[in-house]
Amino acid sequence: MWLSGALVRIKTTRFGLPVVTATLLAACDGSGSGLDKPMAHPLACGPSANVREMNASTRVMSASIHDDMDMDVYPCEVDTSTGETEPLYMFQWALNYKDSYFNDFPETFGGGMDLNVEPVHRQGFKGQGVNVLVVDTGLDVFNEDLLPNFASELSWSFSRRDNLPFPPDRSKSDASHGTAVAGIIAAAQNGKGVMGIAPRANLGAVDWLAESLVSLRNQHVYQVYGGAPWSSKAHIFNASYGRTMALASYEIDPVVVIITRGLKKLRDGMGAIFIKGAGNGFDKRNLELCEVGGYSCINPANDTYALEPNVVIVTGLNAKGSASSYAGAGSVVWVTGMAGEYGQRGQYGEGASWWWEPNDGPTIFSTDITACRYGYSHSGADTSFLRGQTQRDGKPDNPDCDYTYINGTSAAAPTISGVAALMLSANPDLTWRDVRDILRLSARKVDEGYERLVRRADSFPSATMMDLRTNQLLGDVMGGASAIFDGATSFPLELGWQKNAAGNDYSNWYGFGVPDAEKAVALALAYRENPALSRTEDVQIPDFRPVAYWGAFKRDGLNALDETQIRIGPFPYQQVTSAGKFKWDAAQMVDQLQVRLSGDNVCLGSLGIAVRSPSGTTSLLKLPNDHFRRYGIKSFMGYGLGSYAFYGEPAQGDWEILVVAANPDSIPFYFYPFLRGWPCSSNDNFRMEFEARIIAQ
Amino acid sequence: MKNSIRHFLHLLGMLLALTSSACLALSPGEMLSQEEVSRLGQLPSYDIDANRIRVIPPQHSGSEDTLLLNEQDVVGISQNEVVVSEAPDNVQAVIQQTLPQPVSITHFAPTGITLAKYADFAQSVQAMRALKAALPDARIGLAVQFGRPVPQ
Repeated sequence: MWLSGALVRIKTTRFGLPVVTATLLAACDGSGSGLDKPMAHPLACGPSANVREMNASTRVMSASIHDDMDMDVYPCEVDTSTGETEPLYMFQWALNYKDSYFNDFPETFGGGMDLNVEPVHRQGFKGQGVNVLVVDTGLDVFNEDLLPNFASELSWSFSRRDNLPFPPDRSKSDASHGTAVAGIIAAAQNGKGVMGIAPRANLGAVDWLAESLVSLRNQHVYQVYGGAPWSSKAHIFNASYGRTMALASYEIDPVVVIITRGLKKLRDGMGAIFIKGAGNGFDKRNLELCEVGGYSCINPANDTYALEPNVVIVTGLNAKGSASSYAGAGSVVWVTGMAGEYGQRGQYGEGASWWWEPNDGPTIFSTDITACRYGYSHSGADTSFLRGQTQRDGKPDNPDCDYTYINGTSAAAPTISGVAALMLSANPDLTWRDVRDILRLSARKVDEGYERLVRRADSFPSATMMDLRTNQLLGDVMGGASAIFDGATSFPLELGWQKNAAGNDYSNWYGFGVPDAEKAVALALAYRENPALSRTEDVQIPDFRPVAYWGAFKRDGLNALDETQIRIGPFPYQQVTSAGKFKWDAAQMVDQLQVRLSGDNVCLGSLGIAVRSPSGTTSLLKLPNDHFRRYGIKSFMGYGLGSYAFYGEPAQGDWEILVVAANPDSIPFYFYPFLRGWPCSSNDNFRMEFEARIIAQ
Repeated sequence: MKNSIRHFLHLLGMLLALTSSACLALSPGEMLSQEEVSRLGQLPSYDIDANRIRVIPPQHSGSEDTLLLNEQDVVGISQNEVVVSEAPDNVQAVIQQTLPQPVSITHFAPTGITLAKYADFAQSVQAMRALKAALPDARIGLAVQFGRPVPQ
């Protein structure tokens, strides 16, 4: 239905010309896609793969050349081919699940889905005219599958101080990261290797994250985030990175807010699209994290970028259609991209795990640093594909280790960046809010009922109740939102999918779900036909307001609160306690609900936070016994949390904040190595302040 | 024998020196324990927007960077800069005319962000306060990085 709808839209006219005809005329009269010019028309003709490659090579060889992206000869026909032209396409289950190589391996594959990009590629939308900047560890510009789309004028190397962002030190373990991320978005359709989701997007890169760069200046941050000539041309920023372990002060330290809101000025005020990974908060193999599969003890909201509405937070799905066993979860997740598992076994990562290992299965195929000496694909790697030793039909399929596969929300984010590029190639006038809305509107609900099943390795159903007095799980007892109430002594670790009062399905594990590229592009075209659908105004971000104070003693300066919002006495650990209600008067619709906490002598790692809306929807914004337990954090200032579970609901009415406080003197139910600052409680002169606000649509 | 002992002691001394200097190497994003903080001794501090920032003495002579500790004992790094956004078009002139005067000003036009660099951290704090008064509708803060993001 969506396909036919989209085709009908393509055939409709705009300004008296059929879209396709207008496109061909635009491309042939030379008004195509220079990086400094407005983006290309949706179906802009491009040069042939060979021409593109030749021109890209020329640009690389002469870094100073800033010629436009219009190439010499345009074969003015719409390229409607899918990734079948690419030799490794059969491994790209995120683009074509049905015909995947991995179908022969039911232990690690089956019941999943792809992003439904093929119908979009058949319509000819392949990211033409869209500038994607991969902010990462650099890019192997000479990779045969990246070179054709590489745009030096959209790139920068802090190590070389030119616009060729090769990974500064190829021997570093993170050197390949940017190259692999970039290939997922925009590996060229050139009969070689893999297919990017937007294989004709213009690809820029910067080596900002490279481990070997030690002399970074603060200035660089502002250059990376759109302030430099090269970064200001970006339409989409891919950020497969984060600082989710951090303890930050949201908005009190204004740097993140300044940087993020500055992105809204790009694209002539339509705002750049900023896509960011949620982090791998469930990664059982990381000793820094909680040693358990079913408990996300790293909240994506710890990275305060995730609290800004113009940042799209992406978590990951595996090839069996459920959350990747490591992928971060939390109420700031917007959507889910494709990430897979670990790919440690088999020839191409299709092998099942050993019993003591986390879930395994295929990951996301992409590009790598060329040659088998360095990169993710190298002579000592786990599988024969990664070692460059596999053959199909008697021919080696990765002889120079130019290709690899990666996992993590690092892989999930670029799959969504790719979909966003397809949307912008269909409609370059979409604002950042439009792109975010369309990702949500096109998203599919996945893994329904997951909270009552074991979905992470050697784990337990995530709706299992935890006793707040002992920090232990209550066996087979599961619960839902109604189990979170003032005075309760246990709570469910996860609420699963919930439909809010606005009719939006939301889950902390999946956000609004997995976007469908065909539906997303159809919506982008619908917005093009009817620009009134577009949301050009910004969201409304008021100041935080104080909503409650808890303390061992009363203190001065609490005039903004009434007596019901002040609680004096010992901190109520080991139970759920209402921090009171706050009234929101404005007749607005919710975009994001935010809570901010400041405290002294309070065990932050033992605190969970839930919020109930006037419409009755409940969201878990923070789980108790998270990684802050490990560090014994007792002092925090403006620690921010957010939730999209209330998206679209009326803001007006009474909101309730519930503190889900575990036992700070008892070890969490999971084994937690190197627990620092234990026991964590202290009631001597403690202070805890709650603030909240509603960011309105 | 004596020589070999001397060599051994020499090597041991070098090793200890290296180890102790490594102990002093603080990096942005690192959270210090109470013990580590107390080892730094009494630190000059500034109260900034309800946050107390302490200044760690320079680890290398001639370093242009200022290492800081926030209220949560997390190490941050400053290049003595103040960042300004959501400001009127004449922001650079206002910064230039406000005391203390900056060493340099960088304006990132596409995102409307301005970065003013000062001679030292104390001046940047002073300038931030003055600029907040001069530009009441702007968003202004110290440009401090508390760690770099990592691929994930």
